[in-house]
Amino acid sequence: MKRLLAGFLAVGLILGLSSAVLAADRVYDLSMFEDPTTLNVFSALGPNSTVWNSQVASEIYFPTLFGLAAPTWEFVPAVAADMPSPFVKEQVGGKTLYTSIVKLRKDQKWSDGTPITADDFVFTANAVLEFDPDLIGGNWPSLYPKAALDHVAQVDDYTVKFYLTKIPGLSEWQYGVLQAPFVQKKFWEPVFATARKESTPEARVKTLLAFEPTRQPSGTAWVFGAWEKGAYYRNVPNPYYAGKGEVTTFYENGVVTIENPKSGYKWASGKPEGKVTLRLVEGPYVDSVLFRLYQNQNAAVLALTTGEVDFFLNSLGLQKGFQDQLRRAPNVALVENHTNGFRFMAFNLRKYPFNIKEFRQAVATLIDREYITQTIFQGIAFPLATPVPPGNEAWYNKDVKVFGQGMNRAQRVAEAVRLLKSAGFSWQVEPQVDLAKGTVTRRGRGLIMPNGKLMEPFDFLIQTAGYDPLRNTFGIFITQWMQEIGIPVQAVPTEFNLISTKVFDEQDFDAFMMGWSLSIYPDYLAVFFHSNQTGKSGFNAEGYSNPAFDKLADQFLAETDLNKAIQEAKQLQAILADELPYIVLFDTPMVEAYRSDRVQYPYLHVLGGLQFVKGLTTTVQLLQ
Amino acid sequence: MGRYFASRLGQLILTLFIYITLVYFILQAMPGDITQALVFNPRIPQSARAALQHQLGLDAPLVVQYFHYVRNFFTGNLGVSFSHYPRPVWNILAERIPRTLLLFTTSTLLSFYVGYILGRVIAWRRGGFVDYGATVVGVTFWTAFYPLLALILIWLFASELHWLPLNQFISPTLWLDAPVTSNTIFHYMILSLAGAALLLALVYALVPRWVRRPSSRCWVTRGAWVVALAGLVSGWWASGYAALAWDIVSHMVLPVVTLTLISFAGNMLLMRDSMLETTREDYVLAARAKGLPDRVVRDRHAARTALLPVVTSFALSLGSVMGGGLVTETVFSWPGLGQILFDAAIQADYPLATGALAFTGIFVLVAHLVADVLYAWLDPRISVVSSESEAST
Repeated sequence: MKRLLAGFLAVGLILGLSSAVLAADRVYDLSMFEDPTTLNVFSALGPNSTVWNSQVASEIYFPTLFGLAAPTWEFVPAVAADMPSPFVKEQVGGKTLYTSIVKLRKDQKWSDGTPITADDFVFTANAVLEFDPDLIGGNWPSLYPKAALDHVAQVDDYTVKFYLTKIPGLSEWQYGVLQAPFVQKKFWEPVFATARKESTPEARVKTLLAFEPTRQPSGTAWVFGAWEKGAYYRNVPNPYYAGKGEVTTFYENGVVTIENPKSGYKWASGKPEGKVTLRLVEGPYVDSVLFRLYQNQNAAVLALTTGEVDFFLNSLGLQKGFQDQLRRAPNVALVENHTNGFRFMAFNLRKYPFNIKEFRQAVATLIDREYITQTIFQGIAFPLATPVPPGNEAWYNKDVKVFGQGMNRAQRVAEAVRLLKSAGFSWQVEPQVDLAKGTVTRRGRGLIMPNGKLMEPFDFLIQTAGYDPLRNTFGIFITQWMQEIGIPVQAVPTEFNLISTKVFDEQDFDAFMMGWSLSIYPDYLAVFFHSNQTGKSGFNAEGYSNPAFDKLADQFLAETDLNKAIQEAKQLQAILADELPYIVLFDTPMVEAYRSDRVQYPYLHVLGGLQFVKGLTTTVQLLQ
Repeated sequence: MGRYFASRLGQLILTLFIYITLVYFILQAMPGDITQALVFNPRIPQSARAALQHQLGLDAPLVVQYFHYVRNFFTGNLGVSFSHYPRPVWNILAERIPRTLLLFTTSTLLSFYVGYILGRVIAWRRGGFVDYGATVVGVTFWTAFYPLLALILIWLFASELHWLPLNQFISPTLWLDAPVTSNTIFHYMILSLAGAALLLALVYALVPRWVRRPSSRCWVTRGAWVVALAGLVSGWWASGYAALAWDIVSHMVLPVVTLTLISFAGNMLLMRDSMLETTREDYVLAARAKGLPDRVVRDRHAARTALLPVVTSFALSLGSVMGGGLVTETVFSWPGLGQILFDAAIQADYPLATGALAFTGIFVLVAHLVADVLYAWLDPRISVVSSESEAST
């Protein structure tokens, strides 16, 4: 017993006396919750496409011809010197192709000091097309769309020529291939050569994906530093990064200018007018970025409060309890941003009577989004009525029709009854309301469908409270409101994977609830609702089919003019808000925390939060 | 003994086959597959998902997939992880096993040791303050909500008092320029501890035969402890990796203490009950009647026999060490087998989940075999009797 106590005391004493070795470098410390899985960009953007591969490793080392300038998300050149030339129709090898030329900047270098040239991009594009983007998987089919991109050729060291089978829309061109990452030919050519020796296309891709590069050249601000799986990941500055010191200026009229004082490179998206809203001078200003792995939010929150990390990198944002805890912590600041996503409910439109528009409109009328988000959720969520969230300002249609807007409970019920009656529904016991008092005086029972049959009970698949308490609560309220007017629904809290299987793979459901995270360019408006996606495993699991919508969606996807695309996106939203294949419900803002005594960011407000811009590693400044 | 061992080994292989089959089909019964994650990225076309399903062999009939897996498994190939495609499952498990092994073996040993020491003391002082105190404290920790206790200890010792590291299994700043990976240090730690344990086991086994005088035996065993500890310290010091090993040890303290606090009461109460049985035996009474000191009667006569069920329980609990503990690994950010198993199950990474479970299963089955053999070896009253001799008696 005494020996036992003495042993504990000895260990405690030694531990108490020992102290950690502190690094003297300027290190920007971030927390992460999962390890990246690979350093191979083909794998990271392919089958191993994870949040952490995107934010921490692999993806961030590879340059693109063009990019989106946060926080306004203006389409700007990156390695390209200017915008692509207009398409020209050409006959190439007996085929009619459309060509476009992109000039590259001459000041860009890989981390081994060699210049980034057209040869690198051409090699990547043609290699991906040769190995089949579908087989490599993940994001590659949309980055190098084989249906549109025939091949790419090098005109000279700094000129790339694209050969396309059709004039691509914005989603395939500006928001597709022009933003596709590319690799250094010198490093990757032998890897592809080894993979080519395999006998089948699948084996070739497997060999390519199995390659794990540790010291690969980077074409961006960061180079791989070190990785201890399960503990940390470190990036260090690229000594040849040409972007260091580059000034990006945002003007009041939306124009963005880029100026590199070292190389003399200049570019402007238009004629700058009005005040400068933001001026970003590219760094990095730190000696390294260290991502520490914490496998639970409690530990990461404690690490932030004790100053072990500077920023809490979390794609889901902070939960309410952690927000309250961190608000009280000294030297910790919280920032709230719009998220780019939405949560919704949908019916299986292949089934009767869910395919009746008025039925869906009546359900939408019953749902009091404001009541739940403001009263029940106490403002931790905000109501939404269209798939494009208000944070994606340029594309958001704020004028869409919102059923039941501003109505009280009785008015909502009265309006829902009116809508159902107009479509031919009736009741065994019709619901009644007292509009003067704003109350429902009699619950409905026995809803009879327009075909004269009694509506059978159906299941509404909602998330479990453990998985998402907000969606679960919303689902229960919606169920109660539907039941109140006699719609025979029952909420079935279901495990997420099971909902996903029933909805997307089997299409065996009546109604479900789910959510989406979105891209900046809203091509999802077409993808989610186009009738060509109604097959099993398609994105249009609800089975919405509207030829007028399809036509407009096709036009939107093929659109090459940005302003026209915006107008078309708004028209699509207007149709969806009336037809309601999805009843869009709400989303939560992105709340994040950082050490205000340690770091200073050039801006705090951006769609998706600071995590969406990867913690601003190249522009953050350390205060201590 | 040889026949018995062979028969048990045969049973073990059959059990393993049934276990692998059950695990495989239970995992396959989960809705969806790993490619379902692609459904949630509208920029990934359906064709890419279909291609991935084909690549992973998920488009083949389930029975074909099963036979393919079993054939690979029994030829030592655990396949390729879906969630780390195309990384071999073995590679991932090999990375995690040392971390789990060191943490959970240490805590199991410490829990066993603390339980054994306290159990024999409180049994000897039955009804006294120490008995009540240790039982209440032990049962309180035993019934505590584990994650909460862990968080309280982290908050107190790491966040408030700053005595111990906050989380993770190493301090990144110390390891940034380290010439070796943490797994190398884990391997060295396991090897050096196993070496020290082997030395002590040899000493304890040989001393009773070679050294006649009890007082000399005591000095020899104490000397062996000193030599083992000095060897460990000097070996690590000379290697130049002492700071790295110490960093791992300092990160182990909180999880080990938490696990020990939670589980020592089980061993303590088992030991207490076993001791109470033993103290009623005639030979203990005889030892007392001979006028031997209380401590000698307790430790050398009663406790040795009482240890038997505790050792069995210990051997079995060592078997589940490889399963790790998801809660421990998550709360303390200690990435081990438990975490990888959970992630693999959630992501429907069948090869990785099956591989991790198979590995755990093999360890548990082997532990059962060891417990059987150990029991027969430790207790002279138990012997392995052949069926023929059984029939003749």
